[in-house]
Amino acid sequence: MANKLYNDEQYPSPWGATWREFKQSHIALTGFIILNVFILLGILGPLMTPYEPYAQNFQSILLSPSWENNGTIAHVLGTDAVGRDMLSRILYGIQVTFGASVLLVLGAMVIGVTLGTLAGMNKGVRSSVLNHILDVLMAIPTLLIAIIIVAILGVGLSNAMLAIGLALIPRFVHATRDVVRTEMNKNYIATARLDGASHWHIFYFNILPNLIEHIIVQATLALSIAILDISALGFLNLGAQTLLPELGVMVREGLSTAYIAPWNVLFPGMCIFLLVLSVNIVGDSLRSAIRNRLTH
Amino acid sequence: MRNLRFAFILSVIAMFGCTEPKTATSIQSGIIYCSESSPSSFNPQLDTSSTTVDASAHQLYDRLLEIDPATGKPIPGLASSWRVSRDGLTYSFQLRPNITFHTTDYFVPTRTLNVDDVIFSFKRWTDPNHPYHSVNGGRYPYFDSLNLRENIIQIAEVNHLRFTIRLKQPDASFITHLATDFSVILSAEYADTLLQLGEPERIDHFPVGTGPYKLAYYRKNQYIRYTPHPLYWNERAHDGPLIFDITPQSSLRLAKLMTGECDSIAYPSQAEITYVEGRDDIALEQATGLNVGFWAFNTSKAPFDNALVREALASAIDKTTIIDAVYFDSATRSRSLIPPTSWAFSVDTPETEYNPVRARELLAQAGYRNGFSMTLWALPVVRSYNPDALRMAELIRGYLAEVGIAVEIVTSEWDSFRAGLDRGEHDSVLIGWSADNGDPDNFYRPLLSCDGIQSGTNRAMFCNAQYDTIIQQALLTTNIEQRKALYFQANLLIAEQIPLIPIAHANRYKVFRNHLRGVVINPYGGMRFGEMYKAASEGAQ
Amino acid sequence: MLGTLGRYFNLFFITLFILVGLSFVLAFFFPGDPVFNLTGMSLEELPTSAYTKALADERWFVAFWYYVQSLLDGSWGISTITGLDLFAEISTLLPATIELTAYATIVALLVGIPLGFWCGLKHHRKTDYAFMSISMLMSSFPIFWLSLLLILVVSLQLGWLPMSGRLSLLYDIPHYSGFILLDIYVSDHPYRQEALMDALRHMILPTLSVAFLATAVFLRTTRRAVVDVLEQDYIAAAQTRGIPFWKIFLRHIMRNALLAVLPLLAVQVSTLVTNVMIVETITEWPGIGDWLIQAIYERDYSAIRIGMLVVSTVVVFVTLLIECLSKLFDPTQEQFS
Repeated sequence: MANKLYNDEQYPSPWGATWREFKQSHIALTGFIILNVFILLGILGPLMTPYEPYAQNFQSILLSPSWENNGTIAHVLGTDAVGRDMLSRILYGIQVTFGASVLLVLGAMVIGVTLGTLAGMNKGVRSSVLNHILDVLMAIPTLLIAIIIVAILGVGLSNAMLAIGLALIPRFVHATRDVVRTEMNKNYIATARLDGASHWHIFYFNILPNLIEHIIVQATLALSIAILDISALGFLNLGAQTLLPELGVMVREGLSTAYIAPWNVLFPGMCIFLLVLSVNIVGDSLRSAIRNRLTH
Repeated sequence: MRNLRFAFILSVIAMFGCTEPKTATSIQSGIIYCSESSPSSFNPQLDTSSTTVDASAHQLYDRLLEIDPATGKPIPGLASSWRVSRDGLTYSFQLRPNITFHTTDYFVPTRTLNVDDVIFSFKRWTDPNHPYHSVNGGRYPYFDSLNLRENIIQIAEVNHLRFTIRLKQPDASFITHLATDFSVILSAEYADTLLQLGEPERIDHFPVGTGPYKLAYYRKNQYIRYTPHPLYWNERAHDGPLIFDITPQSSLRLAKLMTGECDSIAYPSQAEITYVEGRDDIALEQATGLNVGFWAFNTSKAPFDNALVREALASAIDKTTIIDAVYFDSATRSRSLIPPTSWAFSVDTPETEYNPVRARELLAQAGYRNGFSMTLWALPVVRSYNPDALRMAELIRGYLAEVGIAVEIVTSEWDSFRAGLDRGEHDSVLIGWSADNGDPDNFYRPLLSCDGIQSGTNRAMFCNAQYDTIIQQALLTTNIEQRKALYFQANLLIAEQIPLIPIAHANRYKVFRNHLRGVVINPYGGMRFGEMYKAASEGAQ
Repeated sequence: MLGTLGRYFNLFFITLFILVGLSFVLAFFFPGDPVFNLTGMSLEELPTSAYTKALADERWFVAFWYYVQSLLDGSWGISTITGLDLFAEISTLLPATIELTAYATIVALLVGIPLGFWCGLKHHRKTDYAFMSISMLMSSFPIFWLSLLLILVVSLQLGWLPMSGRLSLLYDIPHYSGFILLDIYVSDHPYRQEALMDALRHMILPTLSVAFLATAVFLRTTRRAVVDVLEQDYIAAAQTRGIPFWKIFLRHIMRNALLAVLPLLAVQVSTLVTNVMIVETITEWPGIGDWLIQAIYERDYSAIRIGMLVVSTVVVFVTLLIECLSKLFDPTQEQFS
């Protein structure tokens, strides 16, 4: 009801304005396109792989990428120590690493935003020292949380996701709480309240529209952290296990032949790098776009 | 217990704090060896694993006799001479005089080597009532697996440098046993001191021997530091420290060799060897190994107690492909336990052919028409007999899936892996054996005799009276042809029962920086650093 | 000021208490016997004491009390795998980690902050875009991959630097403080000079790996802070008054930007420590990160318990210290809520 009032044709929606700012930067657009390619690969990749990611082929072990002298076009990015096709594994790896990261960020977001909204809307919770202590405890490094979770529950991709998710929740709580708190102090909320709007009504119609952008920015930040951490835990053998084609696991496996077949380390790592880079570019550009929109 | 641990820690700290004065040449000439794992102790009597042997047998200790790596014949060690009586039952030995034990931070010897030390070293494993027998486990895998204890009636002192050993029955391989890596001579004086202090278990962790090096510091999973034994009786080629840099990852070892952080590395993988051959700063030595890599079934467990099932599994896998993929061309396909270089080898030993159809039939016959699921334990460390057990396990899993058997690959840290095998938790295991001496008995007895179950070398848990009899008979005679015929019978029995599937005999390699000299591949045992030295041109890195 | 100090002091101790409690509780969540996880020994092996008795009787609250005491005494139990005393272990490991973290942080601060100022002052110009793009690239590197690439290129291809450890094992430097440069300096080793050079050569790769990512973050943070300060009204006011720019810079921009950067650095401590731990495992740096990761591979719960306590205590301490400092320097900041 309240937002209808501003939804006029002369005034583009906050989203529209942000998008207009966003697409003015070439770098931002490139990052956005690359990210979309990754998303597409993550979803459709397994349908396009030339080989099964687990298919071992002992006739073609440690083949170089196709552009090198002893490479073949059959294995564009070469093969690993048990003859698995690098390209197929990377395509699956994108699904595993990127998919797991997106899932865990979504999970952390839902929990974090809920907690943050509650904390922001209820004045009782926010002033307590408890809040601050929780913040301090959340300064504990992700890797340490992961080690503890692995010690209790054992290794596995889902446990790694749990650990990273736990470490990410406070970011969402903070961001949400701050936005909700600032908005709650504004006059239009007081007006709405005087009109007799319920808590839920205020949240849905007044706060949420303002919140969404901040949450999306937080989510892109969290996503890049999640990708880096998931692959790092896979690399350290504390996350996804050997059989799963996770990009960090692939780097670890490539290590055993790193001096003979460096592409086994280079390609999966490069893929993580590009993935994180595109997420970072989109996140950063989004932040600038929002900032520009607000200052204009 | 707490106090004891504390003393232990204090002494570690004390050891760390103590450095010897060094001369300009000593630090340059120090050798760094990148080893693959942490030794479980510094006493090869207690552990046959090559990690323990490499870290102790030839570095810290000496034996009565040594084996000449070139000829495989015994040569004098601590004993300058020996004689065997006509009936083959009495052996008499003369020890060298003036052989000194290590002076360390934890022990200062007051006398040189004499018969007491030899008697102590033997009694420890032969006499169950000896105060040291049950210290640190009380298991002596090499001697137990051969049941040598039963055959030794008496060890008697003639004078302080001369003694005799009496056997119950003749043993054609006895003298080679005395020259193996495991028959080390410990210090009786040190043992007595520790007993008085009430800390006998320190004997295997804070070793005192007569070898070219003494232990200076050991940090599990990190490194071992040895310093030269200044009064070593034999020649030692260099006077710098010796360091074992414990690096479990094979690729990391190679990398350290390339950057010069190691002078030599343990167990390079085949792919790495190919790579190293192209570099001129790294040298390579190779020789046929006295070893066998195999796939053993736990015959004490259903369904592997059924010979039909074992045969089915044997026909389900294609050995040729497995050997190509895991060993490349650095191994010989095995037909039986012993490699073709052994005199007891016979080409006529039958082999199970790769035939998945037959495998399914056999499974159906055994009552497993719908297959079953099993565990396959894959050796977690690189061994010369199996450079990549995990890859082999994955291949086998692929083959078995085709005949309807689901395989779960099990692997864990080396110590707990072996503990699990000792408890017989495995259904089947990919492991192997490196011989300790050139005698075929050293393959047949530990790997498949009933005694081998107790000593943890018979991973198939196979106990067959007929087999044991054949193996026993083969020892009673010194006639090579007779012994060969008996071992052939044993081969036939193994081929029929299939307690294990022999896969390959791998070549042995030594990879080292080319300024390291005196590297000799000893097919009969562990590394000997006392004979190595660095050429003067290249200094310490 | 005293009030702020006192509040942070309190906060640190409450958090520390929670961490200690957590480490005690974890022993029950870890697989196996809690007593074993707490001490590294089974009940039969433990010497008789009030603590042991409380453990044996399963009076956990009393046991917790003694547990806290034993932590204060420095009897932290032993490792279940190596049997070594954990206090002695950690006192050799922690300095190595602190050393690496400190060098990397110093490098990152020395490079990142000045560059950040430069970019901030030139914002929306070519140099700014160039550096921002570079720092974006730098901060997208997975730390383990970066460290591996450095090793592959610098150590293995070019052979310039050693790839593992922090001193060639040939040098037997006695343990004094745990900080290798200091230990070499105070030792009377005949090869002190060579050892020092060797230690420095070992230091370069791990330090650069960690500093690489931290520099990018520091640069971006500083630049943002400077830009924010530049947009403030008081800067415009000062400029219209004709005050020379270098004066405005020294008096307003630098101070306010640095104050804004400080609390943001506190957030980075945990990332920094994670990165250091990963680099330690790759370069075999003998620090607590490598040790902890080995401990989890070997399921050494006693070691994990204490390692987790020590690392998180250090992280919390440093984080709070930075926050506290920034509050002390900047009275305008929102007080402790």
